[in-house]
Amino acid sequence: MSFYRYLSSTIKATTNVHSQAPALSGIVKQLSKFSSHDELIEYSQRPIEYCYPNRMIEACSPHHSTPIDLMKTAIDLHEQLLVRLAHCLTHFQSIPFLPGVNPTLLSLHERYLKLFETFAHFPQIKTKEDEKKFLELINIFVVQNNDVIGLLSTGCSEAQKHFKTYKIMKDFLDNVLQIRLSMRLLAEHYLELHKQQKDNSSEWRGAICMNFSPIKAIQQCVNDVSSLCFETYTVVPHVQIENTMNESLPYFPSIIEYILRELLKNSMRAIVECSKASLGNVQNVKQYFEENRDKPLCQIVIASNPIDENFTIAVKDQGGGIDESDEEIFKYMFTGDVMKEEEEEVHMDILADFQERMTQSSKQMYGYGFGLPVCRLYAKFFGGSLTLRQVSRIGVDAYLRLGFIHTNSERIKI
Amino acid sequence: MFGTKLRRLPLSFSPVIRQQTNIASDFKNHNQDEQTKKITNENGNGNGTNRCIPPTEKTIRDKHLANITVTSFYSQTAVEELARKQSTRLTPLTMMYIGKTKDSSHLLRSAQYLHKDLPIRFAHRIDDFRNLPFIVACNPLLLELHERFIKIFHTLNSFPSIKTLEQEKAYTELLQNTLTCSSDTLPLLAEGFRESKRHIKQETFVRNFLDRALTSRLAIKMLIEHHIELRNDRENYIGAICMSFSPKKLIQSSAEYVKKVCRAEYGVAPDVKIDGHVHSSFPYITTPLNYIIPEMLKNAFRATVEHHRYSDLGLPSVTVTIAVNEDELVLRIKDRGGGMPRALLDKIFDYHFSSNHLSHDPSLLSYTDFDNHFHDQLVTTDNTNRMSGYGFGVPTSRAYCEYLNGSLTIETMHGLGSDVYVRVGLLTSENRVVRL
Repeated sequence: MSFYRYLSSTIKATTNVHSQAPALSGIVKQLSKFSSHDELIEYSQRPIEYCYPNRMIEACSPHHSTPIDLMKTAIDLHEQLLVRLAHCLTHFQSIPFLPGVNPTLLSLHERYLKLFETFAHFPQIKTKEDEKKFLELINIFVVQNNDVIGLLSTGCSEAQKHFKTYKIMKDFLDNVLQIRLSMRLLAEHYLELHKQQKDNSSEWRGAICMNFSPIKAIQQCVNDVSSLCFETYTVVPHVQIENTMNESLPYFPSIIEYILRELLKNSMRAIVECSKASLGNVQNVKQYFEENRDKPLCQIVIASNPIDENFTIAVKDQGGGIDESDEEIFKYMFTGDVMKEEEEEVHMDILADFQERMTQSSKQMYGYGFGLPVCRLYAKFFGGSLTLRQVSRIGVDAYLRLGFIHTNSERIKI
Repeated sequence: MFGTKLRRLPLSFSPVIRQQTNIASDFKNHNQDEQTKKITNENGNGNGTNRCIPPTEKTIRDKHLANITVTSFYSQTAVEELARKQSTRLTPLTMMYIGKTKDSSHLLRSAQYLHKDLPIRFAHRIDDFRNLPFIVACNPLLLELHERFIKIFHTLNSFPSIKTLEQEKAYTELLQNTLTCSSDTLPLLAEGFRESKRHIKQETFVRNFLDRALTSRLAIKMLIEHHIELRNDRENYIGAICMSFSPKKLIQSSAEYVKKVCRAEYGVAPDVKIDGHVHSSFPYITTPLNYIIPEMLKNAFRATVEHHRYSDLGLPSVTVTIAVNEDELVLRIKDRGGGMPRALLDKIFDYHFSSNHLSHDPSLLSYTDFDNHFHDQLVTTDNTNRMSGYGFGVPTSRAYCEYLNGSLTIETMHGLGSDVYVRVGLLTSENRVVRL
């Protein structure tokens, strides 16, 4: 072989390599940025400094000796979010590689990483302008992350088979959701404090409503879920509320509203589907509900327990029960009998319209099977519990217990 | 010290002990026919009222054990040998479809099974006694029980192997006697542990012992009853298994009984409403539910009455919901008795040995380790007006439920009331097979 030919062949060979190389190193490059990050490591090693709601209430009180210094709050929040985002990212980093590269989960990971970097590079807050910019950043942070639960559920349902054990996925979801909840509460609290600077109402201290009355919130939830149920099924079961808790107390309203909505969605769906199955068609069901208004198929009971510093909301339905054990029901992805829905999903281009489904999930009666496990997580976060007691083939009694946040026992930390 | 106590106690205790009976048997005697009375006659009186039974009954009952003397607790080789074996637990299917043969060989087979297995079960119980801490086991009542078990063991073990129907008949009589003489086990156990609880450091130890002892006793009772019933050809029954057991009927009869007790005590009693699968009926052995349902109703009634005592609105009723699926029977007993704080809810499942104030009073006639707020089990008393008891109702019911592949849970809403969820496995369940 002539030297020239040899050279040309090697050149060809190398050009071939070059033409392949960009494709490979693109993905490698894309993923290798997740591998190591000094600042991230430093922050993730710092412990989370918890905030206690009762202290928060006191600090925001108009009677407090030192009025709230928004600048200082902003600086604190800045630190808090950095540490918590770092912790959250470590959870993303520790799931196995294959589920981790699922496009949805990866995009969420990347989002959090970008957020962390933004916060890390945000200059020290020294002037009012700095603080204003920070406020804008937090606003974006809250709005942008409204869809996290939806994203997590899509991602996990796609990648479910790649998690070797259910426990790995469960721990990952529990940890991420818990940190997300705490970040969200703190961010919202800060945003509200800003708004209240101008308002000066004593009813709210940041994100905590001082005169929160569970019965009002629950009534509102019932109305909301009823309309959703009507839109989906054209029938709505009547809900009876029994309230023995006449006093109001300080609380984060968003939590209770979230959980109650999930529980009511489950109950109403169960009642309607069970009635449909036994009565045949929707007309009969409508008639049946009308005739039985005094024997409601869904009852909510509210009671407060000052001795144990918690209150209980029980949602009892006659929706036929679920023929599965407690463990199964509280698993992420457990959705009961939604066979048809699943088949449809397979054909849809998931990446293309997940955005639409994210916003849709809050408008849906059922979806990804995240309702119950997330509600239980939130209940535990607030020093309480969510227990389901099944009455086979008749219905389910759900007991939601939430701890008081304003007491000095400081059992709840954010 | 123990010596004097031993001599004193049997006499002073028997009136007390005879009264602390299993309520279920009393009310059963109301409702079941003559034939079954003798089987479940726990306290020797068949009329449901309580009276002091003279001490001589105790000796009469034990007379067939009188010919055995236990000389030593230590060297019981037969016990040790059998305790090492595993007992064979029967599935109800086996019991139900053992089939009736014309030559009554089914009776023989049943007797042979019991002959082989009962000594093993009693050996296990004796073994448990032997593993109790020394000071606890030396409690005179527990010693008495221990000794009695050994006697029973020997009586059963030394019975020759059963090959003919006459032998089977004799064996059945022996079994009947065994049942009668161990009818007061529950109160003895309760009282014995109550006295010695201060010496027990771990609560779980007591619970494990009592759970095992009580569930084993329940199983043995059910098996013996079943065998005895095999001879009587009751309609709709295969041995002790009622083929068309209706939860509704049992709840109604329990409610009637508990209402009477409640009225006698408080002058009023709430109503019981039953809903859910009221018409369900399936094969079942009623023995465990005969205990559990009245106990739970008693708690519900007591809570209701005490909470609404001074209100003029009348008593809210107690609602029992029946739910049946393929594997289990669920009973939800809802009351509006004001609920319980968390501290009480935790305690209610203990055999009441974790009480904070240790009773230093050796006069064990004081039942009051617990004040009236505690939702105790009602055990009928003679004329004292207190509702009091050993605190065994809830933990025992839970042990029974768990033995039958079920559970007992309580959800309470402070200021409102409590819901008790009793779950027991069905005999016909294929997924969760009940084994006695």
